[in-house]
Amino acid sequence: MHVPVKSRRPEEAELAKKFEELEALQSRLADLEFQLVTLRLELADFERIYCAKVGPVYAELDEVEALIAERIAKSKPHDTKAVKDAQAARMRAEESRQAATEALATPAQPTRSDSLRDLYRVAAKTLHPDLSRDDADRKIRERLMTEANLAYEKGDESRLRAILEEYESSPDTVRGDDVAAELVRVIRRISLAKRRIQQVETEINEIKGSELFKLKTLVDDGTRTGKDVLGEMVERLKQQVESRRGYLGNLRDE
Amino acid sequence: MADDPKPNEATSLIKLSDHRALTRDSIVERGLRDLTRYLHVQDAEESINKAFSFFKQSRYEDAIAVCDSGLEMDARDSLLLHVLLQIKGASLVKQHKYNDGLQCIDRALEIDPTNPHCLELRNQVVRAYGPIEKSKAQARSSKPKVLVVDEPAIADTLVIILNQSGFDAVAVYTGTAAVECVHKARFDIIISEVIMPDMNGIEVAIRIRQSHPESKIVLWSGPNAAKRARLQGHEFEILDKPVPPQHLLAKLRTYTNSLGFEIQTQARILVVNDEESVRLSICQVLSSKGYQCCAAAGGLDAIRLLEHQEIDLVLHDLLNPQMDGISLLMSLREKFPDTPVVVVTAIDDVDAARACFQNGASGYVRLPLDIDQLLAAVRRALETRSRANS
Repeated sequence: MHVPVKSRRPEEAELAKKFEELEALQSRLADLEFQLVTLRLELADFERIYCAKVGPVYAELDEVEALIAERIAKSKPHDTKAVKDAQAARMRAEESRQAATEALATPAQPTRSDSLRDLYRVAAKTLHPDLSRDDADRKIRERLMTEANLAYEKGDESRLRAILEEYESSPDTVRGDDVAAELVRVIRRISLAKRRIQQVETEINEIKGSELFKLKTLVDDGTRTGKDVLGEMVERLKQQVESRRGYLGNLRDE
Repeated sequence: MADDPKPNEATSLIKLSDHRALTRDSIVERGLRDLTRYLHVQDAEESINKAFSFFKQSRYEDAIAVCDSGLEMDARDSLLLHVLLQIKGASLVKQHKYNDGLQCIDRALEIDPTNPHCLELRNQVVRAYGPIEKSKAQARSSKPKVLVVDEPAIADTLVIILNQSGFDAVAVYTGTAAVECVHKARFDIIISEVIMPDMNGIEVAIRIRQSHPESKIVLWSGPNAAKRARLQGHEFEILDKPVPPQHLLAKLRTYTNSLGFEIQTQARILVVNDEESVRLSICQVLSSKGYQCCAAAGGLDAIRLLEHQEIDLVLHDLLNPQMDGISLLMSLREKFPDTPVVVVTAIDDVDAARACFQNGASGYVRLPLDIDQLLAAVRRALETRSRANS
């Protein structure tokens, strides 16, 4: 008995190929988005720790420098440069004090488990707005991706899981039968995914070129060799503060 | 309506938050700068330990490679740089690359001119391997180098005046910059304000004195600050501002004279020795200090030269095939009584030295050549002549 074999039409074969391509791009984009968010969060966390540890000592140093400059300006009241230097030093001390206070007031980031990280990676792949099929889908994705980012930032794993479930159970996620229209949509999604990948790569490179990232890298390198780089920095700065206090004392005695 | 935020309040809030971000950036920038500098110094220290260990194991090639990588790192700490150059120089000498080795040692000496190990090493190389090509350190400027530490308006003006008056002056505006500056280059005179934003002028002077005891240091300030500084009981001379430029220049000239800046006088010295290598090396040392030199192989040639040229000082040896040293000395005393003579000889004998002095020698320097001794004898002889002439 002859069993008829259903052969795929050319547009169906093309669609399958495009879906494969889109799948690969989705994975790459999800990884990059995850890398970007992780970098941002890690840097924000590092900045908070760094500013809270080192900021107050810089603020203290700047305060002593301001007192020295003011003392010198007082002993040379007609020296306009000394007076200006004292004003600039006072402004800088005030700025450093503000930055240190703000850093101390910034709450610590929650710890993020490996399962939360994996879940976020899945969310980025599933919900990314640039991978949407149409405008309606994009709106849903944009809303849910924002919520997913917030949940990840807060370390709320159950909320992230709920967001994913909400999207997957949405009737809009069901694919239509029209192959030609689907092909057009997929090609559009591929193009959007490629553009976004480029944007994310640029953002990651910009972050890696920042001074904050360079500083973090130096500190991390030290940590790997068992050094408390920030602690040592604080110690050195404290010695500097002491030495400058001594100088200020001498100025007062004169 | 009263509860709605006003537009200008919203704007000011944005500005405040931008401002905070900027101050945080500033702390990050400072931290990165401080940490990078510190790590550079640590790397350089590590290189020094490694290079020294290779040197002790006679692995000179490895020691040089480590020094080179350490020098490339831009340690920004001149003392560490000095040590790396010293180890590299010593390694090169061990490999019989004397000129390259000496160049390294001279670069190290430019950073720390009084370092005893470095000076000893240099003398050893010169003694052991004879005359060497003129190296960088010897070729340096023979104008007196002056560092002026004061606020920009005063420091810059003084530098212009000094440079127009035959000095090689540079200005810095803070104590820290002054200390860094003297670590990088040797200065003959340092003029510093007492009151400065970062460091007291006396502290600057004490720090400079520790590393450069030979430099002359003058402090100055307004009358009140100068008076207070004098009461602190230290060795430094303190002048009351304002100091008229001509007074300051006169004072600085007395310093440069006492520091032996022969370039000012450009004395002409005749070197008499039958050994070409000795003649050349003495001429090289003297030329590097700004003296004009001419040479003669023996006493007869020397007398011919003296008859036709104006010579301020003669350096001659005792054992000369043309004429023995004492005869030449007597002859010079008789024909050229105003020209002092310093005997430079390998004879280490008290009686010979006594005979030379009895016959009118102004100095007696023994070979192998000790550069400092030679220069001191030359300076003394020229000073005596200059006093006699005036």
